[in-house]
Amino acid sequence: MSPLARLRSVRTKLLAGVMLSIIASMLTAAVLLQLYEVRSYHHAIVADLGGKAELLGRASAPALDFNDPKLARENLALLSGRPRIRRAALYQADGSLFAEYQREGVHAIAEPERNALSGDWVAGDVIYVRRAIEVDGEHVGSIEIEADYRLRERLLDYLGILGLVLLVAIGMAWFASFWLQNQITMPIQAMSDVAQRVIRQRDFSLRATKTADDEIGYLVDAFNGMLHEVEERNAALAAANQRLLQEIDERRAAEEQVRRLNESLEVKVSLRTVQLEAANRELEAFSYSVSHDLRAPLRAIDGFSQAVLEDFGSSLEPQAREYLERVRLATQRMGQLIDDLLNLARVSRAELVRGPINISAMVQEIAAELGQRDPKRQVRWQIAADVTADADARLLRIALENLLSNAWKFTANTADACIEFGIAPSVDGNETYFVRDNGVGFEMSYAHKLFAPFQRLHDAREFPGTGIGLATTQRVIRKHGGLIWAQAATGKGATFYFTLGAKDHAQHPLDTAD
Amino acid sequence: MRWRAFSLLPWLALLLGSMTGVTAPLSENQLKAAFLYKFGSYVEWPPEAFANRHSPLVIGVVTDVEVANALQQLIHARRVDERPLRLLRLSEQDDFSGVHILYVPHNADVEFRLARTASEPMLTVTDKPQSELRPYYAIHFMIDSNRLRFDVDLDEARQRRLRVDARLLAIARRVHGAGA
Repeated sequence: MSPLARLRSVRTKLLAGVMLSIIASMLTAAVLLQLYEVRSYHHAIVADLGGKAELLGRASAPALDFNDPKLARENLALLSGRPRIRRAALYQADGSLFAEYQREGVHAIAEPERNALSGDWVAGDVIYVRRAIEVDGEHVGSIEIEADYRLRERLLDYLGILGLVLLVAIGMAWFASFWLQNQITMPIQAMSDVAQRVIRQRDFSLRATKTADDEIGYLVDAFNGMLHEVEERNAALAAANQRLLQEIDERRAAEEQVRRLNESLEVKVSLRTVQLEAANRELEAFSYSVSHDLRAPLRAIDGFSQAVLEDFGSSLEPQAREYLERVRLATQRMGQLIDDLLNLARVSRAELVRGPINISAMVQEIAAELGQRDPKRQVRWQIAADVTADADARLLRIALENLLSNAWKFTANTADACIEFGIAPSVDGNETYFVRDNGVGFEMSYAHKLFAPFQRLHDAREFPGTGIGLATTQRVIRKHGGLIWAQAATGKGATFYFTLGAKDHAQHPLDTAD
Repeated sequence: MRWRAFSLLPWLALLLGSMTGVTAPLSENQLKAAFLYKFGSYVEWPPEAFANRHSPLVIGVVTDVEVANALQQLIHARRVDERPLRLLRLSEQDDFSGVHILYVPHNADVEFRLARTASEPMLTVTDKPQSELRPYYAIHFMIDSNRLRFDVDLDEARQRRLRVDARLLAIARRVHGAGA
């Protein structure tokens, strides 16, 4: 719908409203007036005819009293000046007709019998008014006047007048509402035009002109105020937008920079990683080859030392034999050291292959091996049954061998030695295993040195070892993504706890803290 | 029921009521009696003519037994202007004072007595013809074209301080006296 049509509809509505109210009020007034008219017409006629009847009755009382119909007729004939009165009649007390007047050209209507002495009644277009005539309280007769009753005619006349008035009123209202419409719709039209232009041109600096100081004027003011507000908001919005755009640009540039930095960083990291891996591999290869290559001269030293002792032992001074024994011990110890180092390197290089393992069975086997190696010792084993895990069997065996042989070693001087394996309350939802002994233990202040290679807490003469076992164990546990830690007190044994991490679990986060 | 021709019939109905339904014509005397008491309604006496508001209106009939009898029947239980009616049968020698309506038939001779009470408030009625000499009567009955009618002498009425209703004058066949 175009704005013009909308305005027209406002006009139509206004006009319809005005017309409706006029017609409604006129009709209401007309109906009420008609009702009033019907009543008042009837009352007026009855009052008029009744008055006449009473007057004539009074005047005709002597005629009735003194039996003078001629006078009565003359009295009644006075009504001839009233063309509306069709007929008048005087009746005596017994109801017989005494005198009568009839308008010319009127034929007496067969009048219905009425018993009432006084009253009025309407029959069709004729009204009858009857009044009793009394002299000194004595009923001497009655008078009846019969007249035209032109209510219908009158009402039609009224309707005609009403129609005319209605027409005139509608005409006037039409013109008045045209004027009113112009007063109302013109400013609205103007405002609508401005609004259209504002929408089309997006020019919020336009303003509608105020023509009147009425509600429409206020509307125009409000509209202009709104436009002003919109203009300001628009400007503020544009400025904010500009600022935002600028900020976005800045941020984008910064991001780009960060991204570039990141890229170069990644390149650097991967480069370093590759370098590190290469270095590591070289180092491991080196240590492996060194360890491996060291064994040959070592075996030569040991072998020839043994040959000297066996072949020339009897000819040697006891002092020389003792020296040779020391050489042999040192070479054996060095061999052990090389083995351990090789082990450590192997553990580091090995790929982790997880599978279901019965740890309890593995501990049993190792315990049996330890018992075979030193059958004189009496050690009590307490091994929890059916402890299973998902782990690399070869590596876990190395770790367990280290832990159990340590326990075995450090309980050597303990009466009623006892070694325990079991499951401790879990840490971080991971199954926690432990190996406990009641051996010499250690001071907790040295605990941080436990897992570093070549660190020894005990006298090598009392408890021989290379100091690599726990480092290897730790490497195995870490490779599984698990943790290892110890709890101990001097003379009261030690407990080593470890977890194996979840399947496909990344390295344990605490691991890096080491 | 309508009667148009017989003008006397209402009076029969008036006299006999609806008891008998007999329709005999009224006699002249009966009509005269009716007229006599009806005059009371159209004549106003001065206040001093009555002792109080409820004193009876006295109708005196001189010698005429017929009229007196007819009147006797009529005035029973009737009132004029709140006053009861009283009939006095008078002889020619009786004192007329206190009478309000006096009927003197043509054969009675009371003129000299009337002359002595010429200023008393008394409506004098007779069926004697009008005389040129005093005393005059206020109302004279006569038969005119077969109907009982009357003339009114206003001077006489005024002399006796009576006021006659104009409506009665309209009925009268002829009105004598001032203004007539």
